[in-house]
Amino acid sequence: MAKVSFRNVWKKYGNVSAVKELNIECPDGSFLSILGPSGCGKSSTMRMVAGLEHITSGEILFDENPINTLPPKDRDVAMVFENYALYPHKSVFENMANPLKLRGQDASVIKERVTSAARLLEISHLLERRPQELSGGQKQRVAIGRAIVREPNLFLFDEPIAHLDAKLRAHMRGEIKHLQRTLGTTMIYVTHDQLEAMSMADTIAVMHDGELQQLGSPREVYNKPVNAWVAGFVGEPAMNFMDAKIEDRAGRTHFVHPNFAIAVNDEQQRIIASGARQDALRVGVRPDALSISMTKPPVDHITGKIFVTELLGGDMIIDVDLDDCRVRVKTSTEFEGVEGQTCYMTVNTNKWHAFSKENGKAFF
Amino acid sequence: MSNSSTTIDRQKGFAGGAELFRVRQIPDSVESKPVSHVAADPPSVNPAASKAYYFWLMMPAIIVLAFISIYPFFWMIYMSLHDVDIGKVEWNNFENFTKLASDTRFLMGWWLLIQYSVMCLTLQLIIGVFLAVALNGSRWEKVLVTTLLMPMMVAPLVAGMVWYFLYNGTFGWYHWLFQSLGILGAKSILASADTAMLGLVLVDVWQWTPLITLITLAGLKRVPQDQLEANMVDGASPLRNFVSVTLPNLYPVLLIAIMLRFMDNFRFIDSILVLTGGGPGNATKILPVYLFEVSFKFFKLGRGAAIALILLIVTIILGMLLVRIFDRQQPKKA
Repeated sequence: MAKVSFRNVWKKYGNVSAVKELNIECPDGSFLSILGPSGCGKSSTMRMVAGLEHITSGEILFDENPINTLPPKDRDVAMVFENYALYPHKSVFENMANPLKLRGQDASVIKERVTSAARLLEISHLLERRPQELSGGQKQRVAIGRAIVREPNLFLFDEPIAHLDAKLRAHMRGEIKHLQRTLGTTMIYVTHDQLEAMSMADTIAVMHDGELQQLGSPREVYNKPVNAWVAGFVGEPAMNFMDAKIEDRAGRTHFVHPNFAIAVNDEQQRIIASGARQDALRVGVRPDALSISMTKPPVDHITGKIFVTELLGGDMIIDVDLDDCRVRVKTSTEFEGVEGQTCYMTVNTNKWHAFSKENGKAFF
Repeated sequence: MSNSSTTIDRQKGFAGGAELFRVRQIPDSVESKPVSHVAADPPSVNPAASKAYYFWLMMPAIIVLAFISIYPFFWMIYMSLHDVDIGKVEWNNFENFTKLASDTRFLMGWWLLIQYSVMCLTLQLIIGVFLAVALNGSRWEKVLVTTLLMPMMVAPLVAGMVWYFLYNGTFGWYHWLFQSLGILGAKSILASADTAMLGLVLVDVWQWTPLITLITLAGLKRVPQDQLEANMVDGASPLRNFVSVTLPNLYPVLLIAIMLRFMDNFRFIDSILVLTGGGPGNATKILPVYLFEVSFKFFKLGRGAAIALILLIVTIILGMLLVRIFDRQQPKKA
């Protein structure tokens, strides 16, 4: 059990900076997810915590103790690897017993811990088998079992469920979250899947190109993205972006686009007025903040043409062509529009975002 | 997180936790079984592709093989059962075999062959694996490996000649070195019954250790990095990591290396013929050398064939044993 702190951590491979000036505090017992696309430095970050990579600059602390120079075996962390990294020549029992054996535990303690961990994960009947004889889901549980047999300072999960099929993955999200809550051990969970991060973590660290973009709760990251990149990366279907101009009409700031002119609300008006005055910006609207209809609504709206409709079972995604871009709208399955028809969308202006056109920073 | 009712009681430790918390039924795949409407078997089976085609494709290879391999093999068995001389082939009631039982040089040949093989294999494995581990991932790996491979490129006969000069009692470099160190008596290395065998082992080790290094290096490349890392995080020291992850992953390639080398030891006698010819006395007359002598010096072809047959059978049995160990090492696929 430990608090983990990153203080100005850098990782350089030759001239390439994989991680740049990383500062994160992960409180004791919390679930931190490091989220980002491949090559964003998230795995390097985790490997530095595990001691598998040298920390080029800065320090990582467990509680208040720097661990930079400790070898992996003395850091007391447990790691689950993307490819499970089970030892093929050992049985499931021996695989799970390995960390205890290496720490010189008694055979009786090892047996007790491994059997109770196996019971926990419902793999008791597999203990005599070899990893090759297991399915992907079973291997993954053995790998988790190997991590939980001892009580480490910290769990490190490196995309542990990326190779499972979609349904099992959805199932395991809940199980892993519950496991972490139950054991109460600090967890760092690396993933490229925003859905995993959103659904499991207490705190999400969104990374891009080695830089920490945003650190916050899933709600904060989803509802208040700090920049257009985070806004576009988090959320499925992705946020719609439209370039708009800022115009004053009858004393009220409007975002104006060939397809629409919509007034901002009071708070947004204040932010626009107080911020550096810009003529143009980028508007971001999530598909569920738009509502679509075939009849012209009486309020400010966006006019477009239906490009295609996608039925997802429970709801429907409508792709709508605007003059210079295409937006996606989430709606109910009762929607009756057909490809090629003109449609109208209203925006929930409490839920829309505006980003700078130059650097992508969010105004709101 | 702060929900204390689901948090494990740390005092009770892990075993206590398992009682508080159980993951409910994690199916391997969360799919339910579909209903089948299809009969157990198809109404008709399409004919398989004709095998005759493949037979004709293989025919040329079979003919060549028959001439260079199958015919001599059966001819050897035939000879082993007969007294063969120029213009004479006579059945002799398994005398070729029965006489071997009392042939001391035959029995001694086996003992020397075992000594020779075990010494060669042990030294080659230890040095070969050590070199491979030292070279693996080093900056000069490519250059050093190429350099290391040179002995293997030399024909065994030529290697024998080179070492013959190095061992020479008058101007040989090794002779000088060992004598200066006081290890060696007045006799030259190959002339003394005590050291001749070691001299031969040294040549074999010099020439064939690079092969073991090469094979081991290839094996080291496929030791999964993530297993090494997982073991490190589990708490293993580098040495422990080598023993418990690297070596088990190397077993298959090491077994192949052992198999290749022991078979070579049973048949490569070029350098031995050049260096000692089996001498001094019979001190290095390992079985294949004796076989060569019987067949082509004394021209007792029937007897030679009998020895060759026995040697072949023993080689096959040992080979099969190794293959079986190899199979057991390879985990079964589910």
